[in-house]
Amino acid sequence: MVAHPRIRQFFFPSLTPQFLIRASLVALCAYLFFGSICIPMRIKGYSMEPTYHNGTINFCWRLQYLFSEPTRGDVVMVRLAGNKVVLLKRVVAVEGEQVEFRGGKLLVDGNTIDEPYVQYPCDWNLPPRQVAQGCVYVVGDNRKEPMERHNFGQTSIKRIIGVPLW
Amino acid sequence: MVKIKYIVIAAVVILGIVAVRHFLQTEEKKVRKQFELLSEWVSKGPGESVLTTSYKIQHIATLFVKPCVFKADIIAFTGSYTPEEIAGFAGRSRFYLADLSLKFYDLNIEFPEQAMAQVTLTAKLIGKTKSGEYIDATHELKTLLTNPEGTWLFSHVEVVEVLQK
Repeated sequence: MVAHPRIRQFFFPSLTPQFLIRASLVALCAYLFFGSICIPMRIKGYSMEPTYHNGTINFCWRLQYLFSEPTRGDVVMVRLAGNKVVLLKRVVAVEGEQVEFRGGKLLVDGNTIDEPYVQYPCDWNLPPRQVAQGCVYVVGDNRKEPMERHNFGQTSIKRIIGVPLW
Repeated sequence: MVKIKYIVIAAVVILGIVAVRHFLQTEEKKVRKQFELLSEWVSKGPGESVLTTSYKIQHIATLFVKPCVFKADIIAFTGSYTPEEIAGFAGRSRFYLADLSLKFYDLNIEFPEQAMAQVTLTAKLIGKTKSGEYIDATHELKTLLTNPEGTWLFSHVEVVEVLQK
């Protein structure tokens, strides 16, 4: 059976200069897009369970905060070290706000905040502290671990490089 | 014939650029070498002999100026220390570990002044304690190296604290 010429051309294209230029442009665009704008990431760790699971794949969308700033409730990617190591956390307070944990409940400026994404029991107690200028306060969703073992806190907005794509 | 001439000219230009870049990066290579040595001497394989341990700890001290400023609240090692004190701290820490791997990535090296190198990098520490507990830590480091006598030595090491409770 002889394949249709167009089908054969699709799977086995002729290596003409035009084809090579098109292929190079596609490769370059893919490299720029997935290298700088929509970066593939593998989630390692349990600090954002059950919202995000250990071992799953996602993308870091770097254009989210091009014209805006993170707000409470946003799940963000915080650059930890270099360009490849990031923390996935949720913003619970923004600059100028006072954040506190009392009996496992999050309080911002003295008001209890409803957190439907926190599914596991939490008994954290953290005295009130002010979020500094140019910073946000980030915490993971998985709060069943002791507070001392959970990596959370205030970080500079400049370290927030994007958001998970889904 | 004309095409060959242009190809030869292009090849010579490219070779020239590569050669210039190669020689200009000599100081950067020397700085990177110091990080490689630090990584090699801090790392520990299982069943490491006493002689090797002693050799490594002694040589760790040769990488630092006197005094060297450390800012590492995460491991309670903040202050100004002599190379011997730093080597002693490293030795005591290594004692509790069955194996340890310290690797440096994404080195960003700048030379703001003569005989001074500012390096921002990622440090990854993987290991296992003698009691079986696993260690896996990654941190950003900001370091300063100086070149007092032709050898780059660490003068300031800071572990960047990304999240402050």
